[in-house]
This record gives sequence, structure tokens and C-alpha cells, in this order.
Amino acid sequence: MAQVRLGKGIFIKLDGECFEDFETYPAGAIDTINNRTGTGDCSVGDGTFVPR
Amino acid sequence: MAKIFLKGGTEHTLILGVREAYYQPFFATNWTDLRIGFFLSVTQAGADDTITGLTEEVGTPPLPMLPSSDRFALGIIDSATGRTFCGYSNIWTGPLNVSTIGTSKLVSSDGGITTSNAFFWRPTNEVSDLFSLRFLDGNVIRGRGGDGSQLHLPQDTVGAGGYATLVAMRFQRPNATGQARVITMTVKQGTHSGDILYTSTPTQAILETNLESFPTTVQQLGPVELSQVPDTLYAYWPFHNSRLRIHCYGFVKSG
Repeated sequence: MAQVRLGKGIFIKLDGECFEDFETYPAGAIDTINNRTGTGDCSVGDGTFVPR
Repeated sequence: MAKIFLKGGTEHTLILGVREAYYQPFFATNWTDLRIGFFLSVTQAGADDTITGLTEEVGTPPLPMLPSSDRFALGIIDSATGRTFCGYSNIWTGPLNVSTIGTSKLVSSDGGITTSNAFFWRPTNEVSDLFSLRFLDGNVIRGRGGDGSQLHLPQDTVGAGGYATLVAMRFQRPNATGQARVITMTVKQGTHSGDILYTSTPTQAILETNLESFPTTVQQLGPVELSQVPDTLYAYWPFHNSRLRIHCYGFVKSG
């Protein structure tokens, strides 16, 4: 478990994180954003798109 | 259909199809403090990087009843039923999965709720410009935010200060066992605005920094007890003339 220092001595406990900036995907049509493992126990499953 | 667009030739950006919902399940075991953020913008339905001319009103005033597919939503839902929702929406009143009252609008706006300039687009409702946050659970509204959390997306990158808006939500619960469904939602509170910042460098690093520090002037909803634990990120843009762009998203578990 890490701690992050944020200006003026403020601390938050950081158990994990998961980000997606789409940099691994080529330009063009896409039907799934794949699962991704972050840090700690954070992750995302496969993202899907549904017309409404 | 969704696509990856290279903004500026290099920045990979997800553009949702017209009226296409995006579901992304997330896992953060036993979270008690979960912060979720997005860098967002909008573009024309037929052009990947034209952010002007997007004005639209879905439905015919006065006060039509519209389905949820005509309402903007950005937040988290549960995958078991799809009927709980915590986040931003232009639903005036009523739950996510039934018809609700008032037209669904995308209006030209300043950074508040007037038109002193035309730097932004703002999703709103025919009935009121004031309310942007919701806790929805089946057929019940569990919570509705007050003025000060409106969402704005750039239509003039110079005036706005960038082409993407950082929007974030913080979800807390007392514990992940007996009170796992008791959730408090916190967002930035400003003068008719919940936007955190505008930038033309919508990077993971900036998003991460802002989720860790999280705004200190905030609006808080809840705690409310939902019937399910939300476990999926959800984004839906209901307009026909424009599409939602997601430059980056992510979450930080800090408890």
C-alpha cells in the first residue's frame, strides 16, 4: 500500500489505479476496449459498445 | 460504430458512435474510496474533429416524455440489473430506465449557465439548467444534486482553455461488507460548473494527479443505499448531431 504526498503534507492512501488512454489501439473502427490490469487490485474488464 | 481517432495526428481518442452506449466493467476489490475521472469532448456526428454547430434539442417542447435513450449519462451502473446509476445526467426527474419529462438539450454556453460567451457545449434539460447529478435505483431517484455541478465541453478551444474537460466523481462507502451498497458521491462544486479543468493535453498523468488530489470545494450526495453495487463505467451521449469523445479515463482506489 503506497502513500502519495500532495502539496502541504496532505497524504492519501493509494491502494491501486487503472487508466486507459487508448494509445495501444490503432486508428479506425473498434468494437471492444480490452481488459486492462492496473496496479494494486484494480483492473477493468472488456469494454463494449451498444447502440441505443 | 465506435472508433479510435488520432487527434492532432497522434493522440488516440475514443469516439463513440451516434447514440452508442459504452460499458466498461471495473474491479477494485472492497473499495471504500474510489475516484473515477474522464477527459471528454464532443465532435460533429459526421466529422471527427469539428466541435462547432452541435446545438440540438431532442423531443418537441413543451415537456415531452422521453426514453432513457434520449438522456445523457456519465457515471457508474451495476451490471446485474443495469438499473442503478450514480453520476451526471440531464434527466430532470425520474429514473434511468423509464420515460422522463422535458426535452433533452445540447446548448451553447459559457462556463456557467448563460451565454456571455460561446466557449462550451452543455447538456441540459428543457425544465432546468441547475441539476446535473443523480442517484437512480430502479424506478426511484435516491438522490439529486443541486446547482454547481454542470458539465461543459469545449466548442472554442482558445476560449475554453483547451479541447477536453476533466470531470471526476468520488464514491465512498463505509465498508465493503455490511454496508457495501451505501454510497456517497462527491464532485467538484463551482459556479454553475463541476468541471475540474480544461486542457489540450488530456494525459493519464494529469488525470491521475487530479484524482489523487481531488477538489476540496465539492458537492456531496448521499449516503444512499442502492439495491446493487455499481461495477461498470457507463457513458452515453443521446444526441444525433454530435458524438462523445473520451480522451482518457481511469480510476484511483484510495481506500
